[in-house]
Amino acid sequence: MSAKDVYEHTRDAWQDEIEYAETLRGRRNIFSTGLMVITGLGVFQLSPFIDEDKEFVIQNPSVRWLITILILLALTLVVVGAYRLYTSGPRSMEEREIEESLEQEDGNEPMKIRRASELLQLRPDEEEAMVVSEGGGDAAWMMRAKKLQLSVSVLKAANRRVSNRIKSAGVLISLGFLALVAAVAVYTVGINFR
Amino acid sequence: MANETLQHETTKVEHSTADMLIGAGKEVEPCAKNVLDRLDRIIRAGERGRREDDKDAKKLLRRILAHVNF
Repeated sequence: MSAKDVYEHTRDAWQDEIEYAETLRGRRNIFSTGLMVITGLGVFQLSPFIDEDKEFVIQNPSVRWLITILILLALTLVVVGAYRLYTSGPRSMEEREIEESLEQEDGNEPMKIRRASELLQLRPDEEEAMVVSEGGGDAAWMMRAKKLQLSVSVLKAANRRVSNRIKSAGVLISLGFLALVAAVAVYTVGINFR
Repeated sequence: MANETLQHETTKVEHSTADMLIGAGKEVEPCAKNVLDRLDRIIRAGERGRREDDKDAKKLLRRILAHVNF
């Protein structure tokens, strides 16, 4: 395997991670739609009173409490789930180690990687080394491969982190939805048994 | 942790890519060797971090705490 093959292999891994990042974005959109459906149902506005005369729809106070608890539980689960869905969470040790190493190598200047592709930018010493090694030389191909490998590591770590957040958000939102369905069911049964 | 380990590694990079190329009879300029060694060190640091992440993932309590920590 030549140095150019190593680079091409790494580029395939990079493409794969980019596609996975797009898949995760799609998965997030599916849950966003689910959230809109829950909000659109309007079940958070279940009326506790019959109009005007302020008579409780549900006569039994225990059932009223059960419905209140289920709705509050659903609301909490959905809000926490939505928060986890739309935030990326704390950085993994892998990302932090890479950032710390970059700081160390670059003279202790704080470095925060916002996008994995930032690592593909050439520093002046890297440009010089590339020129000296010639574009088609093995050392130059290996430099390109190594820089891309670094970006792949960061993107992979970020994807893993986001994937875990989406999974846990999915569990929370689903539980919230179930709590909401239970609340509606208890409400409906409560009305019918007045 | 990364800083301490890096101090040891600045002198010698294990399984250096530049050394591998030189061993295979390829020409590697000193400036290219420096760049390759630097990239090797950063990649190794990331690998160490990933091993830590994997260890953490196996610990149930930390796993739960990671979910609580939003």
